[in-house]
Amino acid sequence: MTDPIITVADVHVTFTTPRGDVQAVRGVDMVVSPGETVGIVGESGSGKSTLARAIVGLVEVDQGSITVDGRPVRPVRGRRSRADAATVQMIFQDPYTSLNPRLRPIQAVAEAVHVCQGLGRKESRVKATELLSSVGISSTQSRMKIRSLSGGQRQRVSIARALAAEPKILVADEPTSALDQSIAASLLNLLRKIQSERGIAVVFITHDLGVVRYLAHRVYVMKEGVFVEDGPTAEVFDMPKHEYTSNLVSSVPSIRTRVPSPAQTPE
Amino acid sequence: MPSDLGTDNARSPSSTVADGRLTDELLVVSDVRIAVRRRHGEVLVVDTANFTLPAHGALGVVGESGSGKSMLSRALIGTLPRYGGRVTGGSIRWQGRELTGLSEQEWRTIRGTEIGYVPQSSLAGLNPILPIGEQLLEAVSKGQRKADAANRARVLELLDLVQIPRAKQVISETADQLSGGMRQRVVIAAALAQRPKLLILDEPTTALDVTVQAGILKLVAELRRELGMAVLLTSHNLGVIEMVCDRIMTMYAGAVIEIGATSDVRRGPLHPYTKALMDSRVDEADPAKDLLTIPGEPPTTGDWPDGCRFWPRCPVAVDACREGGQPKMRAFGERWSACLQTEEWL
Amino acid sequence: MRQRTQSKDRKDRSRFKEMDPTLLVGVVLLGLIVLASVLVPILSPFDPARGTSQPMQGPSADHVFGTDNLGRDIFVRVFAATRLDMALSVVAVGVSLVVGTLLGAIMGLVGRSKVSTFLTLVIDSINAFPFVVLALGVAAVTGPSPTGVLAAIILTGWARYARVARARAAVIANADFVSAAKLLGYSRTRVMVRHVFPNVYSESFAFALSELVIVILIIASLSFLGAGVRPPTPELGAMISEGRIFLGQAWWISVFPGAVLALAALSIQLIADGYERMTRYA
Repeated sequence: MTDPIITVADVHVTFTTPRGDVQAVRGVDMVVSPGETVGIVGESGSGKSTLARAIVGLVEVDQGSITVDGRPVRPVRGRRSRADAATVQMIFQDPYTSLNPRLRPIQAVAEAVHVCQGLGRKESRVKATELLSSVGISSTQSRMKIRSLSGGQRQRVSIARALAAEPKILVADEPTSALDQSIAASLLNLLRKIQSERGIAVVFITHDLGVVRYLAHRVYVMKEGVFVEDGPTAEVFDMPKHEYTSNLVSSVPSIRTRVPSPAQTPE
Repeated sequence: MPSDLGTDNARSPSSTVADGRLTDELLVVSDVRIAVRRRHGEVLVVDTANFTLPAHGALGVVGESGSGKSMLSRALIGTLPRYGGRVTGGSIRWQGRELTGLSEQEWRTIRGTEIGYVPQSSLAGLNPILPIGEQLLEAVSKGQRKADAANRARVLELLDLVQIPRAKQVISETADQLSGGMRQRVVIAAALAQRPKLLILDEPTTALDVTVQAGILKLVAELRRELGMAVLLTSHNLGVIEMVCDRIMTMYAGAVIEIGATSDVRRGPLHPYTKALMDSRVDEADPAKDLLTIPGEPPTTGDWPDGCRFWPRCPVAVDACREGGQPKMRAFGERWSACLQTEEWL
Repeated sequence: MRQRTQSKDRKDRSRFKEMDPTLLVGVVLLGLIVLASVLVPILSPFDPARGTSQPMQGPSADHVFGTDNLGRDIFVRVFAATRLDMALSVVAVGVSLVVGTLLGAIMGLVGRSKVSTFLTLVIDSINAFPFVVLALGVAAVTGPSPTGVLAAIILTGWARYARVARARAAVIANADFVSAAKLLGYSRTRVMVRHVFPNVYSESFAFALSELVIVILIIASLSFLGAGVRPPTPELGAMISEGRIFLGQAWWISVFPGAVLALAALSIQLIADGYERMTRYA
């Protein structure tokens, strides 16, 4: 068993709002091994997004600790170190706010290459074009205003930008929730391809049980700030031990089918 | 696969009216075209929409972005003007009465009383300040808010119908005090207040959690049986539609491209798009393999390609598919498909 | 939550075809006025400062707008005045925009601190007063002159941009793409300059365009009241004021400056409206 690349130990995250303190995460433990895909599944208000942001350091932890690649996670203040940037990157949910509207894809990704890989202007652009092409964004598209790109295309650009840092871990916060089903499917394929080609660990946050069952080796089920169950995905969904997991699974009857359904059998 | 595919080129799904035969179809939509005002003029968002809905039937409209399904449901309750849209052609007959070209005043006699509507966002359907009880009173007394005993009783009856517990407490609460699922139930209750014969739900579960979603869908299915209503439900999620609807209608780029019984369509879709959509479902995919996807993206509204709108992304397109306009649907027994190649590719 | 948009403008159509008609009309109109303000004073045989013709002459072939009580050609005066007024407005708005937005954006990013609390106090105090009243007050102190007017407008105007920019910067600072920039290890400066500021300015610019109209009118008003640019310098508001006593006999002395002022303000308003409408989807 290799050492985990992410260790979350008894983490608590509290927010102060005008209406009082909100405990978004109330004591969770989690481990992720290098190269594996772990899903965090939960409904709204479960705290899964907050946990994701805590892992990358966008949100401060009140209690407990998060260790990534052997180093403790410090909240991002001032300038994040290159080492940290090269360890874990994030993909966001909303394709319309995760890209700077004033930059074209090639500019956004070239900037990332320049800062993270230290290449000069020209080489950054070349590398950026390669990266964009590897995620399915053509040279023409990379020079268009992002206003002209669709949701699916924008998410691909975000992925290319994140890959510029050559991270070991990708935290994906509901990257397909705002996309049409068929577009989401190609994005998931892309994520799998990237993961297998680069050996990246992926932490995938979602409310969609189908996606998690398809993508993740292991899953953590989150409810109201705590994990109620975890384990290998197939096991958790086929034989849930906790009542909440049962409820979740029974709400989506189609994921129980482990055998390809008749709809897929060619006539 | 139905081996007795007989094609009937003369019919259209709405030809029961043209036949002059008596029909118990509640809703007959024929060749409807809907256009929306944009910056540079009007843009067609729906055309060649043909389908019918029988009394007590439950039709699910499946489509992704740009399919036109939301505009279509708005056309059915006359709220197109709010979105800068209007029906530019075809006919919508509700119990024999023509709905296109009705004035807002005339729509008010139909909306709510004969056709109920549940919007996607329950927050949009509710007044944030007024207590729930008051809003339901409005719905029950057709906007007059007459708080007499009969109306009050009806409000409680409605809350009971949508299975909201602690009804007496809920009536004094406001929308933001309720959970998303409860809000949606309240909106459904309001839509049912006048005992409409048809309930239209536009993406009713998109903003809801999965567990809540299941509850709402079960409720809708039960209500349909109890009240004998017809249901028209739009969604991008096939799973949602399968839980409620016995017939399914697929839309792509503003056109209706397949209609059939849900179980039939699931077992063997007739149109390549429907098949591709079903194949790209994650919840039934085999983790060992890549997901089947549809190459490319749906066309921008109004910027539709010549010929069949799906041909650029279609795995079985042939030359004939690129010419002419969007093919009309053809009948195959009780099913319809707009694919020119239906017989060949199956 | 899914965002379902019916139409995603994915084709990069040329800007010209997309131009809102309001914007086009405004640009053409303004263009004509600017052209006139530049060319007329150069090409006209008459001196805007000295009266060399018959005073109180109505509009004629020689004097398109007539002459005033001192025998000066109103046509050349009007456009010399327009040039001054426009230059003043642009400078006033430009400086307010740049300084105000910069300060506001930094405040929005920095969040709570002693300096920002103090600045907020200053900004809110300035914004509490009606613009014209405050400008009048400052002008009374600085004395009537073009620089006085500029000072009055800039000192009272920057606060509005600061408020707009601060709010916008606070929103943008929380946007996912800014978080992404931080995660990628971008320096604070880079995040501010390349990611936050450009997105704050684009909204402030639209605001500035609409402010331009008000500012032009205020400059004219201040001069009309005697607190701004004073005669004999040709200025539209001052000219209207000067011609007041002659309204019965020589209406053209006030009316033409007034008409051109109105047209200039209108054209800028059309541009502001058209621009807002065009960039609404951005």
